[in-house]
Amino acid sequence: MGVELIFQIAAIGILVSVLNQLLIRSGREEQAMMTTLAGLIVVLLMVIKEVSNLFDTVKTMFKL
Amino acid sequence: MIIKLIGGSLIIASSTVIGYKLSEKYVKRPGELRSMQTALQMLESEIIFSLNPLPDAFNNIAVCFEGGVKKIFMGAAELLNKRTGMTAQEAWTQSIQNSKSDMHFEEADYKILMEFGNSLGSSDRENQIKNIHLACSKLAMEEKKAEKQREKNEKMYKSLGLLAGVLIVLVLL
Repeated sequence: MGVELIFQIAAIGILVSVLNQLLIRSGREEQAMMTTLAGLIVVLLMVIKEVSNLFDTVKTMFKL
Repeated sequence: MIIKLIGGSLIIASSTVIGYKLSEKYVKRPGELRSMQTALQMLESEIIFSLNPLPDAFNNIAVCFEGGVKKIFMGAAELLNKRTGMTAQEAWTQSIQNSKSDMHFEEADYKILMEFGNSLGSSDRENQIKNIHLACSKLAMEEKKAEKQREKNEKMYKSLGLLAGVLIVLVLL
């Protein structure tokens, strides 16, 4: 876990939004939505490890 | 670190090239449709004024053009000059089939050309002229459509290639 992950996610977010705008402007709303969805899923996959890490920490903290 | 950098730039470069290749089809199609129309008009004047036989007419037209259009007319002239008993229609159709890889036409455009070939060399002068006019107006319609498609797709494919490359690199990093 580091600052790089945050930067990476931010960059993906920017790129996906640019792609979204591009596709909408050329009249391909469906593909634009699919790209946004794909970006979301990719970012979720990157974050999921950290989230599970957080849950584990919480569990051990309260001795569950 | 340096290997990552090199790999990343390779991915971006290749995806950009793919984007340009994909947009090429839309960029070149209107121009080819336009030169095809010019070629048909030249064929008309060859038929009306010069009264040349079809192989000579095709050859005369072929020297004025480049790329796929040249190849179609050149191929048809060669096939006719071989004197294997081929009709003009057969030579025309086969020549179009042979040069499909050099053209950026779509199926609709080929269909127009094939229909034009059906009456090529098998009717009198007036009929052929009418047929050329018909093919020309159909091609002009396709050209308008192709121009619209180009406006829509050219820029998109170019920037999409670059952006997709950057995205892949970012995800892999």
